[in-house]
Amino acid sequence: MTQNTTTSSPILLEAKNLAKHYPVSQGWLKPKALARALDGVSFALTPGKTLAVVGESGCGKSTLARQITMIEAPTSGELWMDGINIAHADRRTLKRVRPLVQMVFQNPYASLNPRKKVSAMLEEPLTINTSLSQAERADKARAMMAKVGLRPEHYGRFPHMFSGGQRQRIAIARALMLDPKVIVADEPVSALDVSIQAQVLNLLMDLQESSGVAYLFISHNLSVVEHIADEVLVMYLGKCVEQGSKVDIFSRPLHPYTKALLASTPRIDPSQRQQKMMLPGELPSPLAPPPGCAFSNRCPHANDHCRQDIPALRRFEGRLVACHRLEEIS
Amino acid sequence: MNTNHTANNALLDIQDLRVQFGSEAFPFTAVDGLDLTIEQGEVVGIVGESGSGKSVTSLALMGLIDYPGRVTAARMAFDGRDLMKMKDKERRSLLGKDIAMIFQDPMTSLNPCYTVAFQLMETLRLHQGGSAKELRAKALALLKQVDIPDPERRLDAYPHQLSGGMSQRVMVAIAIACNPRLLIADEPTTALDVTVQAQMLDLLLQLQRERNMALMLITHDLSVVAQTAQRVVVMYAGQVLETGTVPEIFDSPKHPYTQALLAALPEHNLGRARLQTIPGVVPGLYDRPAGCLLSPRCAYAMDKCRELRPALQGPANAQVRCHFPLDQEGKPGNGWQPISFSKAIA
Repeated sequence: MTQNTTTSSPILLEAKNLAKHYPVSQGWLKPKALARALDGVSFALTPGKTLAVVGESGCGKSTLARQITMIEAPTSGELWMDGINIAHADRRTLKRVRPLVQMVFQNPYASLNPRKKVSAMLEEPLTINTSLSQAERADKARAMMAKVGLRPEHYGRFPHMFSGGQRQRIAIARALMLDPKVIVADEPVSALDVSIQAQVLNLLMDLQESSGVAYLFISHNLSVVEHIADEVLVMYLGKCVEQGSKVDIFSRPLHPYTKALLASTPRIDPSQRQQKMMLPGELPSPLAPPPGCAFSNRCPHANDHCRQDIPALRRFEGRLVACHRLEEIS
Repeated sequence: MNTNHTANNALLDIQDLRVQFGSEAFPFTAVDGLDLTIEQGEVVGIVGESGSGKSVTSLALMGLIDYPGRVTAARMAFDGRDLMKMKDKERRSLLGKDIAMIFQDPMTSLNPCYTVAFQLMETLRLHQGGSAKELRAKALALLKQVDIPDPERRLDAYPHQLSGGMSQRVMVAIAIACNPRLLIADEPTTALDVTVQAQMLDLLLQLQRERNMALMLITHDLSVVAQTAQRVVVMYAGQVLETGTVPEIFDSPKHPYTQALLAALPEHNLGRARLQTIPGVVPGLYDRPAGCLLSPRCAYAMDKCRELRPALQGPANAQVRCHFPLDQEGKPGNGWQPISFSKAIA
């Protein structure tokens, strides 16, 4: 994220140093360990823009989503929305703010209640949060169904009567019912086939254009991110390692982890394949992260300095990167 | 290449494989008349969306389709021996030894009740035998081959103590334990992260080269196939739509489905606001069209496509199931006329 974008357009939601630590039991009489699932992440969402959060499983992407959607309260840090710090707000404030942030989940086969009709699922948020009459709610639900490309006769059907792509449309319609400002989409297309994935991505982009909703788009599929995102935040073990505009990051990744991610992504076009940069090993346990840079044990450029000191996120060539040896390796 | 000639030499030769589920009276055909040959040392990618029958094909090959599923084939020969005519015991002695399989989800395909060593040694004991000490040494050597860090300690680990990538490496070790000549990998990297996926594909290809194994790579990810396979089989709703070498399929696809699938990928739409899509969904049990299975979704479909189901045509290694296969420029050939099509819509 560059300084310009943060100042020029109004900020919908801003996270400052957001952290979530989970205590993990290690056995009777043993002290509890602390899993730093999310460790100081900052970003801002602006209307009509998409921030993509990229990283491998276990890097804290979903923990981040849980904080943003106010399912959990963060351990520390601030989360500003609508002029309120919702990180430690009381229940009444939360109830007022919650409709502004909605979520679309990964697996549409699991995220829809099989015993509820589409009508009931779409109208439930209205019943809880508004004082609209039954007829008004039905009208709103039907209008939303048309918006996401569902046919009117789908109104009274159950989820099992739909294909994966249609189910994801229902999930998206449900998230949009309360006119949210922010939608957190946690891997919304990874459970779908290529041809369906394209339909859903188009729908998401169309909806953003018409309503100006901001997306926090969580994904591990870099080619999808390259298509939909405006800004990219690369996470590794609960920390942000690189954050910047999509064009910058995809054309010239600076952090060795971002480089490795891009190089590992399989490509169809041989000319797009980057020089292979195989990372050894896997993500270390968040219970026992390596001292110093969390990436140091897999990084080809790591030296003693990296293994001792945690690199701070710093501004470099118009983006934020956390690496000690940036100047030498870039 | 002559079909008969390759059929005789091929390591795996499947002809007219049909897998059906449901009642006899109203069956659902999951795989419909599949022909597939794989040569020794070849990497063949099978791609298709969910429901295209790619996994069912591999299960049928391994004899893992249970009643009420029914498997029929004109010929399903491995190394010249017909698997369909074989006695069960004889077939079992081949499976896991000469034909091995890696499943999609490493976390659920290992038995959580047994250690890694036990599960590795079980395969070795069954097919090769030997004392416990020898088997353990062999198991250790296998873990080293699949690059598991600290293999001595991992031998006595239970599956829940391993990460996803590590479990998949153990699965690979079990699969290659008896030097298979054909390795079937059913979505081997779908459950893994990109960096681990790259490691895993590298490992599979390295093992394939070292041992001159044939590798049948089943996946829905076109880019994985483009990067690893030599030959590609594109499946749709239980049928083979197109076969060809990787450059042929990815540079000049002959089938409209392959073309549309490639066009729908985000990496082929860079700079564009919208992705190109294929309308509709894969036909299910009740809405199979009478003609070409793709006809409701195909951009070039004509009356002939809706009425007559096309047959697989062309030379053995570049077949296509289409009335109007695409030419080099990606336009439908064989006398296809766009004007009559637009009139029909109007």
